Parts: sequence; C-alpha cells; structure tokens
Amino acid sequence: MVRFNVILVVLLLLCSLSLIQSQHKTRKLFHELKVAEQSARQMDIERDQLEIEQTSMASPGQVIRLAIRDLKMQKISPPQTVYIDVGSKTVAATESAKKDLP
Amino acid sequence: MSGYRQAGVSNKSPLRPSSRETNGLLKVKITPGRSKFALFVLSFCFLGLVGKALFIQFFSQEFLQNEADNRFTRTQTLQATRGKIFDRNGSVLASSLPARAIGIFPANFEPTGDQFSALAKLLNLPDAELRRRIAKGGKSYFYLQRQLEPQAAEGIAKLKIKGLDVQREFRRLYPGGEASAQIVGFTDIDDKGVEGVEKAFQKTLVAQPGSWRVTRSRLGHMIAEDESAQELPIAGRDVELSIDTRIQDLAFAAVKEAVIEQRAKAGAAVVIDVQTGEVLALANWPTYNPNQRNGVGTQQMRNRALVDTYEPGSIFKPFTVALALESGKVRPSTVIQTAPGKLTIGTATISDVHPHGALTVEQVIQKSSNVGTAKIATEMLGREATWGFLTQLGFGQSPEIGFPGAAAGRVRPHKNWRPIELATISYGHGISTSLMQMARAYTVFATDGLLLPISIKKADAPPEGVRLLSPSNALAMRKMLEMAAGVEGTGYKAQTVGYRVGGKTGTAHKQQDGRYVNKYISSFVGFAPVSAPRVVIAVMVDEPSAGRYYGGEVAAPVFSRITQDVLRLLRVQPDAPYRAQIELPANPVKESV
Repeated sequence: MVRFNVILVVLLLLCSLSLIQSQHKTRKLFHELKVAEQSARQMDIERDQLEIEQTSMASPGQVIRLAIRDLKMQKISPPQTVYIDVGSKTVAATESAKKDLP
Repeated sequence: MSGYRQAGVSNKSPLRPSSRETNGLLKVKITPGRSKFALFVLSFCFLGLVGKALFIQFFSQEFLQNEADNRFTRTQTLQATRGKIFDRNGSVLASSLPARAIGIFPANFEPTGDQFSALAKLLNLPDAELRRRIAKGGKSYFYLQRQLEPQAAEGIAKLKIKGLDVQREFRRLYPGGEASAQIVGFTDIDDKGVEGVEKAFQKTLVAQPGSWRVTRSRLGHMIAEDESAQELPIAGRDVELSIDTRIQDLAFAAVKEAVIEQRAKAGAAVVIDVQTGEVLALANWPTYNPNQRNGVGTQQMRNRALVDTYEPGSIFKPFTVALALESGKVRPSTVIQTAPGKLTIGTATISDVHPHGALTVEQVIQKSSNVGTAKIATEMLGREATWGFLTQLGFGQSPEIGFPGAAAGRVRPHKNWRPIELATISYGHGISTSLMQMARAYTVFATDGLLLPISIKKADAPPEGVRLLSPSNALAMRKMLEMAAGVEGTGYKAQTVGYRVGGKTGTAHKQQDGRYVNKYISSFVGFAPVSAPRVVIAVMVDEPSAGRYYGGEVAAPVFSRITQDVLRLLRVQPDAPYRAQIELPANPVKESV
C-alpha cells in the first residue's frame, strides 16, 4: 500500500512538473507567435510603404519626364509611326523600323 | 583546558562528541511547562499561517487576482487599417501608413531641461515654438503633434517625459498626387473621408479597431490572451476605381497645358469607356497636392467636371437633331433654310456668325448653325418632346455615379418655356449641365443609340444601357459628328492622325449677375474611333483669355491630343488611312457662339 502511494505521489509530481513545463512552453510559443505576427505586420507596413514609393516613382508622368530628360528619348508622334496591315492585325513601326522592312 | 578533556574524551575528535550524555555542556534542563509553552506558541504561529493561507486562498482571491491583472494584464487597442484605393490596374491611389500622435496632460507635464530640448529636436521645432505650443494648449489634454513618423515618436517615448502620451494612428498618403486629387479626395486627421472617393466610399473604406486583453511577463513579453475579452479589428475594404492612372495622367497633362497656354481660369476633361460606361479619367486644373494641403483653397479642390454646371452651347445641338431624326421629322439630307442667318422669335433674334444659306441637317451640325437648329426645334419638335428627350438623356438630374456633390444641372419644366427658350435650348443656352453629364449623354451616339450608366468604380459586368436612338439614327449621328470634326467642320482641330473622330465644338458666353458677359467656356465632346467607338472624351476650358476662345480652337486640340494618346495606350487599331499630319481647311468654318 505504501509503495502504491509512493508511486502515486511520484506520478502526481511528474504530472505537476509536466503541467508547469507545458504551461511554460505554451507561453513561450504564444510569445513567439505574437512576435511573428508583429513581424508580419511590420512587413505589411513596409510593403505598403514600398507600394506607395513605387507608384510615386513610376507614375506615367514621372517616367516620361525621366525618359526625355535622362535617356534623351522622344514621345512617339504620329509622323514617326507607320502602320502595317498584317492580316487582321495592324502593326505599328517607327520610321527607322520601316527602313529595315523588306 | 577544553571541556572535552575535562569530560575525559580527549581521545576523540573535539568536533564530534559521541553523545549528549557524554557532553556536559549540551545537557539541557527544560522544565515540561516551558516545553509545552513553546509547543503551544509554535503551534499557534503555524495555525496562524495556515489561517492566513486559507484566507488568501478563499477570501482574498478576487482582490489578489485583480492586483495581479493590474500589474501584468492590459487591454490593448488593436488598430485596423483603412482600405486602400486602387486604379483599375492595381496602382495605389490612397494608402495608410502608421503614424503617432503626441499628447500632453498639462497638469503632469514636467520635463527636465534636457528632455525639453530633446523633445523639440525630435519634433523638429525650435525650443521657443515648442514652448509656445504648449502654452497655447490649455489646461486639459491636448495633442502637441499628430501624424508623426513612428521613428521620431519612438525616440520621444524613450525620453520618458512625465505627462506626455504617445498614441497610435494612421496617416493617409496619395501617391497619385495632384493628377487624381479631385477624384480620390482626402481624409481628415481622424481618418474620415471629407472629399472625393474617400468621402463617397467612407462606409466601405472605414476600419473598426478592436481590443484584446493580454498578459505580459515580467520581461514585457506577451504570454497569454483572454479570448473572451477579445474584439477582433475589422480592416477597411479596398476600393477599385475605374480610373486608369496612365490615361488620367495624360488627360491631366493635356488639360494643364491648355489652361496655361490659353491663360484660362480652369479646365477639365472626362474620358469614358464606351464598352463599359466606366470613367477612365477625370482631370481638372487647377488642382492641389493631396499630401500637402496647407493653404489649399476650395477653387483648387473643385472637381469641375462633376460639380460645376455651365451653359453647354453648341455641343448640345446634336441632341436636338437626334430627336428630330428619331421622331421622323427630318433625315440627314433634309434641307433647312438658314438664310439670312437670323431668326426672330418674338422680340429676340437668333443669329449665326455668318449666313450659311440652305443647309442639310448634316451641315447644320457640321457648320454649327444656331438658326438651323432653332428652326428644327421650334418648327418640328416642340417644348414637351424636347424636354422629354433631355430628361431621358439625364439632364437636370444628378448622375448616379456615387460621387459627392455631382451636379444635376438645370432644365426648367417645359410648361414655363417661352418660344424663344425652346430655340435657345436647342443650341445649348438656357439650360445648364456638367461636363460629366455631357460626356455621358454622348454615349448615345458612340454606342448604337444606348445611353450608358456611368461608373467611377471598376465595373464587374457590362452595363445595360437605355435605348434612346435606333442604331441607324445613331450611325447617322456619328456620320454628322465626324463631319463636324472633319476638315470642313468647326472642330477640324479635333482630328487625330490614324483615327477617325467625331464630335462637336461648343463656345458659350458666361453669365455674371444674370447677364451674359464677354467671358467664354470653350468645349469639345466627341468619340473615337468612329468605325467602332471606344471612348467618349469631353474637354472644357473655362475663360480662355489668350486671344482665342472658340471651342474649335481651344478645346478641340486638347481632345485630339488626348484621343491620340488614349487610343494608342488602349491598343486600338487605327481606322483612318495613314497621314503624317491632320488635314487643315483652306477656309476654316467660323463657329457660332
């Protein structure tokens, strides 16, 4: 009987310790989850920020300005464009491209 | 000598006496009474401790639990972000980023000299200005600074100034800038939409913050949550507009350039997709930068294409002719005598800028004859039929576009029309419309006679239009409007290389204090390509003052430029034979005002 009681006490102790252990683990995992969620939120914010920057920097007006100023490009104007009928499709070619055509 | 030796135990270790009996020094003589008394005292103390433990466990549980909660459990607000606004291609037009508000409890606010200087530096303010703001703040809680960058706010929080509070909030950014400012609108400092789409779709965009109770460890780590006390935050839903930023930008650039070049007061342009009824662009000038709104006036905020109404002038004539065609009163080839270029009704006289003589109905539109249009209206249509058709076209009613402040314009009840009014209304005077209403009404010509519902939101399904003209009459109108925008028409400058265009010029006197003055609104409304219309484009320039004011000279070139760019952008196949330049007339037709 004494032995049985001793076994029960040991089991009780083991259960108590495992309960404490699992509680600790739960809290630790919960903390890790919240840290991960926080990190996800931060990334969302960064994505939004980058999205805004991208839209601002890649606005059509800005692209045209930079292309003309830095790359010395020109806007396509109708006199520089030749339309070629290929079946049902119309293909536009620039004057320079036209020279290369057979 | 030691006591151990005296006891005769010198042969054993002095530190390890064999027993109490052999160690005389340790012999204790306690009386039984004393022993019992000590036992009683100790038992009493022990019982006291047990009693206290039981008391704590069963009677102080709530109090202690509350104390623990107060130390380690907090109710936190869970922020939710306002929905974003996108254009039809997924480009962001409005988005929210976290910011911080710095508040002050004046009664507790006691910074040291160093803290004060550091605070001023982080707020990017001179010390004197900060002192002034704090003095101005009053005695109850006030915001010292709002919409602050989170990094700066973190630095301020680290100063641990007593009586200073850092709150979370959002700031709204508009990467579309001034080109789409009037469409998107803006929110106030509390994230509530006050203009444009931000206001119109407030219910969709608005976010609801939530809250939760969370337990933190001694180190500040979140270790548990109380799910029963959790209210989940609801993020605002995104809104996808029908606007195409690329088209918006080029329409905006064209309007801006025209207003500056013509030294005009303002300008606006609308581009509508004929296949879906969606508004692809809605450009205005002057405008403002929605990210820097300090000092912006109401004039810059006005979405003139939607909110302002004006007498449309000659761009209205096609509706009179369309009604005459639809009611079988005329055919495109019917001849109308407009000589001698004047028409007197009662005491008033209507005139053309110069007499045209006999014109076919087609030519009445092509040459923009006031007399011809007035004759069709007064001799063939009548007040009721004209009023009915204008009402069907949506004039006098606010367009159901879901935009705040969209103007209804004015079409008076036909019973009150005097004969001269029917004549003037036939060529666009005596009524008022917005540019958006005009653009929408022109969808009747651009489609096969269907008036399309228009939308500022991206459409999920093709719209169901209302048939107002038969397909053959719509085709006839397209032909007339192509003539009007052709080399022999008033709108020849609307021609664009590669595409056939149709449309009508308009030049109207402005009214001031109920009288017409020599200030003008120049406009052009048209569609392209004529073979299979894809877009309706309406352009308006308010008070051009650089010498030219006719719609054909001021607004038509803007239409041409927008059309050329839009159709190429939408990859619409050219439907006109290739020419290097548009054809210019030897003797341009003079426009009537």
